[in-house]
Amino acid sequence: MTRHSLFIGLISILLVAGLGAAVYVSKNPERFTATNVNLLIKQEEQNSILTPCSRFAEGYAYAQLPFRDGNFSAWPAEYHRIVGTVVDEHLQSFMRPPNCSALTGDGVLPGGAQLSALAKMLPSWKSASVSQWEAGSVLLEFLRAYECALEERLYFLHPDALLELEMKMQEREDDSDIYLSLLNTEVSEEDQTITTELATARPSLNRTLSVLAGLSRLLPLHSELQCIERSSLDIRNALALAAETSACLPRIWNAKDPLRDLPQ
Amino acid sequence: MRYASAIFGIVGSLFCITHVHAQQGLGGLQLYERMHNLTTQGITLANTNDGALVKGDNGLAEYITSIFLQENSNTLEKTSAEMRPIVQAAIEGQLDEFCKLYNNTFDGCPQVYQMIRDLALDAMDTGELLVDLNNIVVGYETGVSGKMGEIFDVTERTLTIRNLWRSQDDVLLTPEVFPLIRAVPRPDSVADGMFDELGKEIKQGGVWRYHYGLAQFDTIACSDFDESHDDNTELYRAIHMRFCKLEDKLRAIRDALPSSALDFTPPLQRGEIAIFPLRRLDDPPHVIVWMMAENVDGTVKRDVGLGWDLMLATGPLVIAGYNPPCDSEKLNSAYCSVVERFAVRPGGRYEDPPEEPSEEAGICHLPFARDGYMCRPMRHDRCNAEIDEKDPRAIVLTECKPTQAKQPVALTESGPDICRTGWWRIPTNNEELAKDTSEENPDLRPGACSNCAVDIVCSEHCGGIDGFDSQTMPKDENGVIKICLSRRNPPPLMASGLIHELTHAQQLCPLQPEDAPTDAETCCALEAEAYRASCRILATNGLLDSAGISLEECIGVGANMSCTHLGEATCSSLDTESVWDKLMLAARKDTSSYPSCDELVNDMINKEPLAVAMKEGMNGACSPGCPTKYENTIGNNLCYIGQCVEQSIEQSRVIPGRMGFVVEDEAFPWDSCAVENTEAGGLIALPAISPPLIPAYNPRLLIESLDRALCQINGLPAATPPILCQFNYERRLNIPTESYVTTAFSFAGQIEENLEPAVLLERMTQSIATRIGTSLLARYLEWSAGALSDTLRAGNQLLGAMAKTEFPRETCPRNAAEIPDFCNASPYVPE
Repeated sequence: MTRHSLFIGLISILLVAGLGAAVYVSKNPERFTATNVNLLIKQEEQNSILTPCSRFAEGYAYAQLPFRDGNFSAWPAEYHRIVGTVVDEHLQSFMRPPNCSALTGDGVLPGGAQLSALAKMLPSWKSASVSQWEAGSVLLEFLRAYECALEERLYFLHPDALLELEMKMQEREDDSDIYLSLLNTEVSEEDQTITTELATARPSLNRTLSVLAGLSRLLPLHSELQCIERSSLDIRNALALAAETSACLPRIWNAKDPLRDLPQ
Repeated sequence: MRYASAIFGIVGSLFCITHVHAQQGLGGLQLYERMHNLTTQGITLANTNDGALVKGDNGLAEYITSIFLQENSNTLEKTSAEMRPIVQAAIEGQLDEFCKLYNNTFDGCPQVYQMIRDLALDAMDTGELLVDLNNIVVGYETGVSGKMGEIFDVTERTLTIRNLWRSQDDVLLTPEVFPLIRAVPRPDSVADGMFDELGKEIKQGGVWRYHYGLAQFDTIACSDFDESHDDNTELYRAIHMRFCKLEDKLRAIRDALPSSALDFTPPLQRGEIAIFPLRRLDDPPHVIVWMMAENVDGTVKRDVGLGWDLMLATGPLVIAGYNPPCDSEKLNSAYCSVVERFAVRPGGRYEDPPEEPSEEAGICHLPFARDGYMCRPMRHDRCNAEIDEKDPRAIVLTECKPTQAKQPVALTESGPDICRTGWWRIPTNNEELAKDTSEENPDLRPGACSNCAVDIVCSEHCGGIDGFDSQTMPKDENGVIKICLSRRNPPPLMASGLIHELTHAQQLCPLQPEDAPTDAETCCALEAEAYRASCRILATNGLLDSAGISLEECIGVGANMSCTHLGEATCSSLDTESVWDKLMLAARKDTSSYPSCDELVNDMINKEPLAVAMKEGMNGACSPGCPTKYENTIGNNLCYIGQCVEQSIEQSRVIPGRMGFVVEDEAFPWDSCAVENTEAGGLIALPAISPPLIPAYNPRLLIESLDRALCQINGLPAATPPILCQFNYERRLNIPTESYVTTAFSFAGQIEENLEPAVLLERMTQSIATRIGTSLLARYLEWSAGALSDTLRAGNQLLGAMAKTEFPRETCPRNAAEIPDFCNASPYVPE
C-alpha cells in the first residue's frame, strides 16, 4: 500500500506540475513567441546537428515526427514503415537517372520522395535539400529521434500512459473512471514495447545499413558513370555527323580547284 | 557441450552454401523488413525465457535432437523419433508439455528444458552471425563482384562506356589484353513469354544451381540426377540437384540466341563475348536471367543463367542428417571424428572439397569477373608510372618495366596513317573478298578503291623463320602483293602469321612497286608494327599467357627474329632465343582447334574476320564511290574522320588555286585577308597510354601500426609482442593493495580494466581499415580514371573550340575584280 500511495502521490505531483505548466503557457503565449525563442530557433537551424532530440524541445524541432501523444501504440509500426519505404526507395535509386547538369554534387541525385519527406521532418534537413547519397545519415538521425522519443516516454511513462489511456477512452467515448489496474496494464504494455524497440531498432537499422553502406559508397560512382555514358553518347552522335561531313572533304577541295571551273 | 561449438562451426561453414536456397521463398520481403525480422527473432526472443524461439519447423529441432541424444545417450533411453517432439516443445517454450513428454517424474525437468533451449539459442546465434557476415560481404561486393544481374554493376557500366569510346584498332595501342566484350540487343527470337514460362519453373535452389550458367551441365544428362536419393540433404541438393524442366526452359532461351559469328554485326571475333540485356523476372521477384555468347575457336558458344539483384541471407538455417558414413580418407579426420561421435552430419553427405577454380571456371567463367586480376595474370612492360612503394613487405599485384625497344616502333611514309590496320572496318563486299583462294591467282588485280590487291597463297615453304614461316613479296607491276603462308607452321600461329603479313601488305600498298626497306631502323619499325598486330592475336587466343610472355616481349623478340639479317638483337634488348623458344613450345603444345592454312584462307570471313577487315582497310575510306562501313562508336568515327583528312591532304589539293612564282606569292588576291587560324586544340595534351596500377598493399605495415596504437592507447612504449601492452597479469600481484580482499578483487577486475581499450581499439581498427581501403581505391581511381577525364577534357575543349569557330558566309572569289566584302574590314587590303 505504501508503494501505491507513493506512486499515486508522484503522479499527482507530476500532473499538478504539468497542469500548472499548461496553464502558465496558455496564459502567457507571448513568452513563446518572443525574440528569445526566435533566436533559439535560429541558432538551432544554424547548428541543428547538435540540437537535443526531445519532442518537447524549444521550437518543437521534432514536432513533425509521427511520435505524438495519443498514438503510442502506432509508433513502432509507423517508424518501421517509414524506414522500410526509405530503404526500398534507396535501393530503387540505382534505377533512377541522375541529374547530370546539376551544379553541385548533391544535386546530381536528389533525395527521393520518401527520403525528402522524412528529411523535412528532421531539423538537420528542415531548411536544406537532401541528396539520396545522404540516405544513411537521415535514417540514423531518424533512429536517434525515435530512440529519444522512446527514452523520453520511458522517463515520463506513468503520466504519459495515463494521458494515452484517457485519449483512448475518449475515442471510445468511454467516460468511466480510470483505475490503477488499467493504468498498470497500459504502463506494462508500453514498457514492454519500449524495451523491445530499444533493443531491436538500432541493430535492425545497422544490419540494413551494413548491406546498404557498400552500395551507397558506389552510388555516386554509379551516377557519375551514367552521366559519362550519356555525354559519351552525345559525343558519339556529334562525331558521327562530323564523319558524314568529312566524307566530302576531298571532293570539296577538288571542286574548288580553278582547273575545274564550273561552266558559266 | 564442449563439442557443440565445433559442430556449429562446421554447420556455419556450410551455411554459406545453404542459406541461398531459401532466398526465393522470402523473395517478396523487403530488405529492412527482413533485417528487422531477423533482429527481432535474434534479440528479443533470445532474451526471453518464455515463448517460442522459432515458429514452425525449420530444421532446428531436428538438429538439436541429434546433439542432445548424443550427449545424453548414457542416461536417456529415448529414440530420435520420440525425442523430436520433446525438443520441439522446449523450443516452442511449452514447459508443461515438455515435462509431460520428457518424463513426468523427472525432478530436473526445468534444467533439461533450459539446456535444450540454450543449445537452440547457441545454434541461432551462430546462424545469425553468419547471416550478418554474409550481409556485410554482400554489401561490400555487390556492384564490384562482376556477377551479372546485380542491382548495380560498375564493370557493366564501364564496359558500356568503353564500347562507346573504343575503336577496334585501339587494341593495337593498348598494352593490356582485355577480353573483347560487346553488348548486343536481345534478338527477337527470344520472346517475353519464354521468361514468364521460365519463372514458373524456378523452384527452391534453382537460382543458386544455375547462377554460373547452363553450360556446365551439358556433359551430364539431367535424368541422371536421382531425386529419391537417400542422401537428399541440402548440401547434396546444392551440389547435385538438377531441375530438368527449368533446364528445358533455359535451353530453349539459349537455343534462340544467335548461333553463328556472322549473325552478329560486325561478326563476332575469335575470343569475343557478346552480352545480351539482363531480364528481370516478374515472378519470382529479385531474380534475373543473363545471356551471353562467345566465339571460342571459331564456334559460337552460348550460355544462359540465373542470378539475384541482391543476394541476401534469409535467416538461420540448420542442416541435419543421420547415420553418417564418414570417409576419413577423403575427408578431414577431425571432421569425421566429430561426425561419428555425434551421429550428426552437418550438410548430409559431405562432398569432396571443392577444387580451386581454374582461370576459366567459377567466377572466372563470368564475362566481367574474368577480367579481374584474380583470374588473369597482369603483365605489361610499358607504363609511365613506377610503383612508389619499394617496401619489400608490400604485396604488389602489378609490375611495370621500362620498354626494351632500341629502335622506333613505327614509321610511316607520309602522315600518321591513322587506323591503317583497318580492324575498325566491317567488310562491305564479301563476294569480292571471297574470290581469293589459297592457290595462286594470276588474274587478281586491284579494285577501283585500292592501290593494290593481296594474293594469299598457302605453300609448303616460304623461306621465313622456322615456326613463323611466312613472307610478303613487294608489290608487282600489276599492283598485286603476294603473301606466302607455310602449311607447316603450327596451327595456333597460322592466323597470327596471316595478320602479320597483311600488316606488311598494308605498309607496302601505298609504295611504288619493288620499293623495299633495307636499314635497321625501318626494318624494326615495320616489323614491330606487324608483330603488334599478330602478337595481339596470340594474346587474345591465350597463347602468350600459356607461354608466360608478355605482349611487349612477343613484339620485341619477333622484330629481332625478323631483322636478324641486320644483326643480333637489333630491335630489342630482350633475350630473343629463350623468349622465342617459349612461344614456339607453347604453340606446339596447344591442342585447341585451329584452322589449317587452306581452311583459313578459303573461309577467311568465318575463320578470321579481322584479316578480312584488314583487306578492306586497304581501300581508301573516303574515296568517291567506295563505301565504308563501321560500327558507330567514337573511336571508329575518329578513325574515319582521320583517314578522310589524311586522304584529303595526301591525295587532293588542300589549298586550291594557282601555283605562285615564289613561296610568299598568293594563289589568289584575297588570301591574305582570310580569318586567322583558330588553332583549336593546339595546346591540348593527350593522356599517356598506360595501364592502371593496383596500389601496393602492405598488411604487415598496417598490423605494426595497429600494434603501436595498442601500446599508445595504454600509455606505454611499443613492446614486442604488443600484447604485453594490453595485459600484464602480474601487475596486481607485484603491486598488491593494502588488503588481500581488495587485491583479489583488483586482480579479478583486470580483465574489465582492459576491456575498454580493447573495445576502443576494435572500433578504431574498423575506421582505420576503412580509411586505408578508401585511400587505396582513391589512388587506383586517380590513376585509372585520370586518363579518361583528361580525354574527356580534351574532347570538350576541341568540341567547344569547334562550336565557337566562325565560318565565312561566302567563298573566296577566284577571278573577282572587286574586293570582296569580308576583306573590306581587313587592314591588309592590297592597294
